[in-house]
Amino acid sequence: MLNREVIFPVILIAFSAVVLALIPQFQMPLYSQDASVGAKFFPTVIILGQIAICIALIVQHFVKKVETTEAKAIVSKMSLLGLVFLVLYAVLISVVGYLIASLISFTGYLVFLKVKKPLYYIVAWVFVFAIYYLFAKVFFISLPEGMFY
Amino acid sequence: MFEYLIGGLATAFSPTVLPVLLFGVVGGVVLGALPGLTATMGVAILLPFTFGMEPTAALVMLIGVYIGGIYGGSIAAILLKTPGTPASAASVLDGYSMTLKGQAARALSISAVASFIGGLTSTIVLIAIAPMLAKFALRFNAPEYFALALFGLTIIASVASKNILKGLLAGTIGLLVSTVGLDPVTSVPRFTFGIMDLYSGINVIPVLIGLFAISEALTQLEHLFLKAKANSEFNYKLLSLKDLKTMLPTAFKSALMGTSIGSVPGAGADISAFVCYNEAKRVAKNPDEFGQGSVQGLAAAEAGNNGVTGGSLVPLLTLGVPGDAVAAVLLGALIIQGLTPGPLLFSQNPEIVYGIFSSMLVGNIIMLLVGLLGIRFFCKITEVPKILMIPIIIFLSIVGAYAINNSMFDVGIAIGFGVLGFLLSKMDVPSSPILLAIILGPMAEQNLRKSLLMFEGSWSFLYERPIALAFILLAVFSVYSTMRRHKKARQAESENP
Amino acid sequence: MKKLLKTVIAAAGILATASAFAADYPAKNIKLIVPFGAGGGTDAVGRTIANSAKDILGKNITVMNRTGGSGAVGMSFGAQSRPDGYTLTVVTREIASLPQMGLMQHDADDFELIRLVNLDPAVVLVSADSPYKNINDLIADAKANPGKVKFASTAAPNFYLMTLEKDQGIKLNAIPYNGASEAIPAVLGGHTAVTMVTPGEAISQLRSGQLKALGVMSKERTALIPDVPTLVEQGVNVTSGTWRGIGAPKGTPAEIIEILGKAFDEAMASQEFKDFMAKGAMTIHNMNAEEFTAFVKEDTAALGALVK
Repeated sequence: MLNREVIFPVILIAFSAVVLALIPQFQMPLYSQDASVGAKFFPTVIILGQIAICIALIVQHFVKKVETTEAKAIVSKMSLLGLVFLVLYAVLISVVGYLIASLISFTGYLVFLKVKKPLYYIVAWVFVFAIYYLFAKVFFISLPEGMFY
Repeated sequence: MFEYLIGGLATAFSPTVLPVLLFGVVGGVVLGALPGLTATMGVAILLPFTFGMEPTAALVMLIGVYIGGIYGGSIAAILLKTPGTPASAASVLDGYSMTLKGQAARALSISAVASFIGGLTSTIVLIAIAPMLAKFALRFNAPEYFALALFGLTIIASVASKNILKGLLAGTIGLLVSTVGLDPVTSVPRFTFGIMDLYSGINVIPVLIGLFAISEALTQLEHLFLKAKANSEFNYKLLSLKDLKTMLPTAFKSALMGTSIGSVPGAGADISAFVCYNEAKRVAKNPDEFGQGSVQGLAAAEAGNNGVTGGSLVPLLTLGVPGDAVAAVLLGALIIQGLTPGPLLFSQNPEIVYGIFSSMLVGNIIMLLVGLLGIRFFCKITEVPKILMIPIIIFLSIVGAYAINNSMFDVGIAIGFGVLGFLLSKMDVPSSPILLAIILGPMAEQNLRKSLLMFEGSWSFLYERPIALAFILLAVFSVYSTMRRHKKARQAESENP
Repeated sequence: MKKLLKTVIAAAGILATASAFAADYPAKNIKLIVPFGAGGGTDAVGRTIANSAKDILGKNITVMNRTGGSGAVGMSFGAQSRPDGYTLTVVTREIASLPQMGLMQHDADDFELIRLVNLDPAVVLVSADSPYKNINDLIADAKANPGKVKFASTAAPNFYLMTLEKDQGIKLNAIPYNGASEAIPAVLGGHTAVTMVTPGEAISQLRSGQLKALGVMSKERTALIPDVPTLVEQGVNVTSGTWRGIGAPKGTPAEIIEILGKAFDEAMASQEFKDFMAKGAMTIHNMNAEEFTAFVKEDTAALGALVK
């Protein structure tokens, strides 16, 4: 019976316990007055509530035997690849800037998925340039330029 | 008043003002539809361009962007589950469900009509009773804000349709996230671990982008090479007469609620959309439809967020204080034009005031036309192949998360919440309560503690102030009706297994 | 691949020109970091001076809002930028207060301060029907009822108030609001008795008479509200206010600082900037690099005495 419906609340309880241990370490306010319900009150209440809900979830699982939805894999290969892609893209942006990073990533994505249609590549590049133009020239938002500038 | 209004309408249709208004509304729709670009930002960016303009034209353009921006966020929310602004997050719940059923055009038309009703009603209310509304708004202070936030938070229980505990869990996760940063009352750092970027808390927009857009992109990626379920037949049918009849009462009620919420300084379109959605669900005959493509749910959220547009100008024009962030920029625009916002504006520059009023009326009509005429065009987005749409959503998300504060840190937040949202969806934990809690959590905490400071530790404000009491009673009713509904559902389940 | 290579070469080329000598400064667009959100007072000052200075420098100045931690995030970001004169920061009074409270890791010493642009006193405001007629009424009430007079604070902690409290030995009930746009309605609605904001933040309520000024916290009366007496005139020797200036990261070449300083002098003298500031009820106060640096040092010491 040790499936995700049990493991997930248990992980959250452990996480909550860590957070609960952090709360007493908040500094005391030095310069301003505080209400009778202080800075520690809300986080404490929220954490205790979270732990209670997690326990209730575990109890619910065992007592009521709520049928679990057909076990979809938590992470599939594709979603993991998606995550790697996201992180690589973000890192690339901070290194070479928005424009180049986007061109590389979009092209890389299409190549990786073995897309053959040239139209898709054209759409991808047009999209990247259009966004760059829209942000940088129309909205005057300076997009990341990378470390070389 | 009427001659001023007619004069204002003449101004709004004049060849120097109408194109500016049209540009503003269309530009606003585009801005709003892009994740990370909010109506506030659009108005602020355009502000320097108005320095050289004639006062009415300048304000009209900014107001056009405001109206268009709030509406535009919903297009992406409905079609792609990628709300452009927090204000349109509530529209995802029912709008995207309709899109999944192949009814994107119906959802978009409901959204356009409801937004129009919201915007128009609130403008009329603004014109008719702005000074009265201002008196109401001034009675709002910490206790009332606390009660309003509390009522908004009760929606967490009702959003979760399958398992109420998981909805509540999402709520606590969001509330916990909202406590990160410098404590609003004492400036003590909480859960910041010495990271400067966390001092102002976790920005809601990257969270929104992560929870909705990025996690959706990851999910779609997963399904990319799986045999797609026969997609429901897509059709271009707009809303039916029956839909219109169903939504009208809800839309008008939400429009009025949105106007009131907008008129209160510090509460904007995001809060209004969720509060109106909650209220519509509370009184609905068939609340179980909410979240499954309910006409009323979508109409409430849309009329609620656009209802704010007129309301937020109430304190600006009558008191000289902004009702929300957009109004703050408009205040700056008025001052730069050498005008004095506040009661003096009515007596000193009535032509400006009525120019604003009439261009809001016209601007809402333009918004409706853009919305309805654009539907065929917008729907084309759903026909873009998934393999291209997924990276496009990802790129827009990343650039949007960056643009909101020019920060790669926010990009990291968006990716983090994208993964969190993706994992939680696998656990059937809904993500909208997280967002709702991040928006309303700080409002509840800060104002409770402010109230306790104001009343020197006494809790009497909860029952001694009528507006606060009314919202607290509404919150109690809301929880009660949700509980009763769940009980009924369980009974029905055990009777016919 | 060729395409990529080309881009890399182009990038390297730009890099080389950028790090070239200050002689041809500015060779590309300049970025101005504003540590507060788009639409606020600091943002408006930043955008307007950028707008006025760009024609003088011949290159565009793009404004970049980097908010968070009451300005700490943006100013720290600015302090850590490359000291090549292409990233400037709007430096506000928070640079003097936050580091001393442990809320910011950089301080004024991490900047080459270029020019002070704006200096505004705080004004003590009550609603039109308030029983207080002058600052001494307020002080007397606060003395009679310690910790009872409700003060709508625009920030926590509030240095305008702390200066007054320390000098007079009084204590008000400071309730923290999110800036002037929330503090003013709190006074208008009668939820709090008094607030302190800059003239620009309350100009429309002052003109319409919804709010009454008990006194301005500067040495001399300010031209924007000449009828309002100073606290000093009323026998309360307290001044406080806020300021904004422009800084570059420490280590920026002196020639570049000089070029920028002259450009900002010209920008501040331009009719466009003067009009903008006058309409917004903000005071232009130009201080050159040395004066500004000394001024910040002095203010840092004054605030240090309050927080310790």
